[in-house]
Amino acid sequence: MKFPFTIEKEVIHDLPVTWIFTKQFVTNSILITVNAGSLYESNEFLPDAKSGIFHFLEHQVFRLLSGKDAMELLNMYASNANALTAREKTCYYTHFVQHDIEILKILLQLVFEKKRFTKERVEKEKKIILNEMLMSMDDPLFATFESWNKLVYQHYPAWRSPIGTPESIRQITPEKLNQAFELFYHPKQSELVIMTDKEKSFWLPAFDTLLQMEIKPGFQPKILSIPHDPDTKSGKAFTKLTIDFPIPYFMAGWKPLHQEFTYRDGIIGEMISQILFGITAKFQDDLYAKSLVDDSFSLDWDWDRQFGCWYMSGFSYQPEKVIDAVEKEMRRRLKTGIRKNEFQIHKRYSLVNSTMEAYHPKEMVFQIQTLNRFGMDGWDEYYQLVQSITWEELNENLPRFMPESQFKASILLPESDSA
Amino acid sequence: MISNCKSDFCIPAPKDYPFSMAVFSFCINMNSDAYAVYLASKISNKSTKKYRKPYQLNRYFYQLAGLELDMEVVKWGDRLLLNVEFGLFHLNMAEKKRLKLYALAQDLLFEGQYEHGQFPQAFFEEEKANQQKEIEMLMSNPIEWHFQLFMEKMFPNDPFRYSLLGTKEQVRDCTNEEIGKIQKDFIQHSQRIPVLYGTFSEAETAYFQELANQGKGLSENPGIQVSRKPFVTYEEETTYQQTWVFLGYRHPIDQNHRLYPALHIYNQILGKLPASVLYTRLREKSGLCYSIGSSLPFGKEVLFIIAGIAYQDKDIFLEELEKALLSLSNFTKKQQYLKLAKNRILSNLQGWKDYPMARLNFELEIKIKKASYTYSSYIQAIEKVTWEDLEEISRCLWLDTLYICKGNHKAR
Repeated sequence: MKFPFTIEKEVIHDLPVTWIFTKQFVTNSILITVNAGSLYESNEFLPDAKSGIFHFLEHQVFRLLSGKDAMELLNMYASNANALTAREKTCYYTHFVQHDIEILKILLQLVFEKKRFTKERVEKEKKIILNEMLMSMDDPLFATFESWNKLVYQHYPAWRSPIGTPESIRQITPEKLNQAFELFYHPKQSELVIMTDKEKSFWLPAFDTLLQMEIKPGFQPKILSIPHDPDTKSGKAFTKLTIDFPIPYFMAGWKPLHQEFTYRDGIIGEMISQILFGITAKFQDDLYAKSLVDDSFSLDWDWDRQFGCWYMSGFSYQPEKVIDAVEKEMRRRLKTGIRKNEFQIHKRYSLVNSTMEAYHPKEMVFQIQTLNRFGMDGWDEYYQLVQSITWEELNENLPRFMPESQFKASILLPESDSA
Repeated sequence: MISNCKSDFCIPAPKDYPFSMAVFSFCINMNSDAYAVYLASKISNKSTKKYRKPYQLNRYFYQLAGLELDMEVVKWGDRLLLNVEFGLFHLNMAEKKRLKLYALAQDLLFEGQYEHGQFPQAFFEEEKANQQKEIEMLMSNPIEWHFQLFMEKMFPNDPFRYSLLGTKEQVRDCTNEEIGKIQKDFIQHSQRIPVLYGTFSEAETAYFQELANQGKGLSENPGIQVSRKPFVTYEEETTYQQTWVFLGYRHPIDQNHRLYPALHIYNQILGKLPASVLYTRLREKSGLCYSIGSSLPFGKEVLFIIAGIAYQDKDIFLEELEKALLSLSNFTKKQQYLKLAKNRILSNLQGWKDYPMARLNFELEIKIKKASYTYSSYIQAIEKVTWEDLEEISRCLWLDTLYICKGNHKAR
């Protein structure tokens, strides 16, 4: 299979860079990721910092040392920039059609240039983030997913939202921000992925910006592998909570055994979940036919190298019945396994899909970054991986991905009902 | 033979581009039956005479791998549309297989009522319950629900206010027979507009042309006359954490007005650019909100500003907002921002080469609104916009409705 781009990797001034060269697309993208995610907001790395500090930093680094706003500058080049903080990283990215070397320079500057966090600016940011938090609090799904993650991960910080809490945000100071920035924001702990229809020589001079910045020369990267979740055999769990929804909500799923995943494991998990409970499964049809679920029914596989779970969720007036049905289907499938024709239909679809995904230039930088994190070479390897997965392998992996001993369920009832 | 098609509803794709796409749209003027068209489309999507269970239909669809089919009912200003979207990824894709996809779409659209001339009762009940739940969920979403209430305040006699979901009562009381009749009427009386992008065979273009010929022309929408008057304020208490402010401005600039391209630039500068005037002044400089932006709904001469704030900051927020709007006339970065907004719009237009569905929607918009511009003349018009045009827009905007949805901010 031939894909519309080629990939090259190198390290430039301590910064790992992945080039995705294309002549197919006019949309160019640059992504810089820093290993600063909420999973690292721990005593081990940041004894004085509280949860939400990396998300706060993500907002604050846009103010450059010159006093200029990097977002405003990126705008000048018709570049659509944004940022996000996740559990294992903070991402800064931009998409554009009109090339300008300044775009890359600004992005490098906003991530790596030394910052001056002022009290006044930090206090203003607290107001903005508290407004962002209120918005999340008004979305009951936000609290629902947090409680689900707590149920699944228990003592592992993957349940925590990167945004923090009102209390933790109030305690953030310019000094704490500076400390977190100094420890985490360094090229050695970051990665850049660029997708472009320009030659490498066009962009290379921008990297000299890194030499002009005050970046610690002898910086030793911290050991930033995501900590393991030791709790892989926490057993069955079931909770009933109340929530500000008009309709009950259910969540039901599994925490696979051995919480350590390769990319192949990720694909296997995705295929198993889709074949057993996705739109081509009779099981989902039956739930609809009995009016147990509606269009809010969704199937998710939330995973990374060191943690993961998969689950179904949605609104239902009879959430207990849905959970019973899922449990029953689990037992049945553990006995009967996946049928060959179910596997074949899905595999064919997955292969075409992995080719079609290669034609989304805005997504590609994120996809390649994820493949890099898993030590994969590029899209060809990903495609071959999908191609190599066998029916037997899926069935062998069923007990690991759908362990009866790790079945978790949660029901969220409207406050009025529980009263 | 599949090649770049030459019909007037075809847009050629770049050489070797592996996708072709098509949108076939059924369009009528917005009316209170929108909820029924929405419901009918959901039921029709579940099965055909041949594939009577959704999972069977989905398995067949998976076997046509590389082909995408999406049907959605959308509200475009004062128009109600049912868009059938085809994605054709044609690496080694036989024409025969593509024709199978069109046949599937046709079955879904025209054969939904295969059980004694009605929709299958079980699917009807299922989707009816589903839509009622959707309404309940809408009511629990602070922004979407209050936006709907705001629309009802601002457009009390205008069909523009109708939501696609309808009211709980409408959905509860409707029957299979009524929904079926409304769907048939909709299909029969709608204007049918195909737009194609990429490579298609003669047989395929003929197929779309034939289907389009069977549609009716769209009657002129009389519209509602609105006069300029002092704005009305509504305030409501809620149990939400955050306070939301909705501002509805009116203007006389329709899609054939000379200032139409300038209006889009004005909107970018005001509240759409990542460093827009509203974002910079109200969020970054004053810290009064997290979320703020402006928008131009398609096909309606209005501009909305929506922001999430703390209630105690309401007065200062409104004061700052007014200053921000006024600041456009003595703005210090006029040429810089004008260039910026133009670049952004032009970049988006160029970027459609990679995302042709956006280009198709633009062509559809032109056809539906009988707009006087084309893709290339619109690009030229954007390039010619001056700051004076923006000031003219600024003068002809007037605030019509201010709607405040007061949060309790307990978590602060």
